[in-house]
Amino acid sequence: MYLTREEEKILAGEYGYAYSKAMEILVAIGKIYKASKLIEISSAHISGVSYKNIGEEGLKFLSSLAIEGRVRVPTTLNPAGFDTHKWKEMGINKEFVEKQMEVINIFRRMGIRPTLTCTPYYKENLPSKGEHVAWAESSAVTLINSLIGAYTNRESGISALAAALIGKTPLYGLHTPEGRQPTYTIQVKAKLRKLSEYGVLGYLIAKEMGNKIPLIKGIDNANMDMLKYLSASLATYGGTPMFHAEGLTPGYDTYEEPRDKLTIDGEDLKRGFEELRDDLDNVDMVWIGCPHASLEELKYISEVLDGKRVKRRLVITTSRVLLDEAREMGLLDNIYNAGGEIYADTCIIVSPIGEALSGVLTSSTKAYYYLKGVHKLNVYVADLDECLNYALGGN
Amino acid sequence: MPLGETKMRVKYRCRRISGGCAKGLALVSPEPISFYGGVDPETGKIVEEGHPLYGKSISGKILIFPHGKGSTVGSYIILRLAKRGLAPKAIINLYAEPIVAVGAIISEIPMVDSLPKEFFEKVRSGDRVVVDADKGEVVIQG
Repeated sequence: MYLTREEEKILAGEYGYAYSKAMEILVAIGKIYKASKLIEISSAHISGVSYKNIGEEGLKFLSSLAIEGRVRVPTTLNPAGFDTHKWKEMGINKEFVEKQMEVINIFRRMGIRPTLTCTPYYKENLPSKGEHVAWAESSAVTLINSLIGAYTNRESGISALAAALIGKTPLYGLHTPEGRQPTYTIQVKAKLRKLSEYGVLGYLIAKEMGNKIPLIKGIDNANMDMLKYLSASLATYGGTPMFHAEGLTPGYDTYEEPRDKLTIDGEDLKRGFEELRDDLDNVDMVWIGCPHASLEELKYISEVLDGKRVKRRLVITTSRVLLDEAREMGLLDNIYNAGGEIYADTCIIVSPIGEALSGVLTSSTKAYYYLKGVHKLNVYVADLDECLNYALGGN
Repeated sequence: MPLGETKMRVKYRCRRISGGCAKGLALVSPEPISFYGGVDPETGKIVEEGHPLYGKSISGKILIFPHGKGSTVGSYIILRLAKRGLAPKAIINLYAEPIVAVGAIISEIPMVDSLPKEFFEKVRSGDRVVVDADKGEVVIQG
């Protein structure tokens, strides 16, 4: 990979440890993928924030970078282990709180905005079409590549941080037109209306096709929230970095329609839902907000819960910015009055509160995968309406 | 291609992924390794069920495997192993991928890849192996 004189100097350590380590990481990744050079990025988004995941060693490593390291581009941060305003209410122990706040402060010292959300594209960090960025958080990667037409590879927390510190990323993969080529066509023969159906669609596609990029036909009416669920599912089950959708995503028609074809119909969707449903018996939480709930989702939940009372524990997770906006719009009263809990900055997957649960009912196919894998929980995927109905005491 | 072959000593060219030198006994896995979930950070043992190295400790070994797999949290698991003195001394991959590469770099573990196929056919667990990532050389001392 070609390096400029300035980049060579950074690698050689002339600007200190943090930048040299960051450059070493970018060069190694560039070598692995045969990148020709580094290109400038306009933003970064970093995962690997929860102390539960990175541990003491991760904290020490980040802290060694933060002595001198400052990010060169606007950079946002994925969810942490709890709501920074409500950790007591969540029952988080004090030692964990202190460690987690230390991690957040280390990121802040590096100039990173502690947005603590997996959906920064709603408000805090929205790239435009054609912009090169370096993002971790797989669901956001797939969404911004596809719906927005930004360019990013699937970064890890560390490689996104390295890119943010240097302000550059190796040129390969999703940063090139060839790397965004669809290799098969998905014909959707069912009328999808509900958010969770898009999650199940992503699950079915990813299971068949792995990380290959699809051109999807028949979902041209989908909105951003629906595509959020689709993206999260594709990324979780296939490692799929992007999709094209006919009549919907920018530049879908610049590529020829791939001949390899898979049809997905209503029966397939039904089967998909069945595969994502364990026992309902020991569900002790209904969870909405994986990825973080949008303002529209909060509004809908607020309307459904108006004047009602939950009989089972209902937890909603969203970003701080959207939570504040929802409060100003008067959307939160219905939810609190109904007995629902709303948390910002966190989610059940990366929070220690997941450890104490036995079963979760959720609208998210991504949550199904990680709650089972990380917390060994019983999980049941249903649509938002069904989830809310169950929380209100229905079956 | 071996560069110089004597009875006991075979030298191979390789590509540096993470710098440094190390010498030790080889532990060879025919299967990819997932560090997150696949290696116990408390003991350094492979804990993925059905893995050919199941129950074996990777600590202090020259760990040779095709490539990494699984979650990117794996990079932090390598770091955790290194800080506890439980990491491999060096890593040799058939082809590197970013999870293990980033883990090796932040943990200061020498790592190389792109060796000729003959290396992977010849090397056996228990062989004495020298890795010089900076020079781009691996030697099997037999």
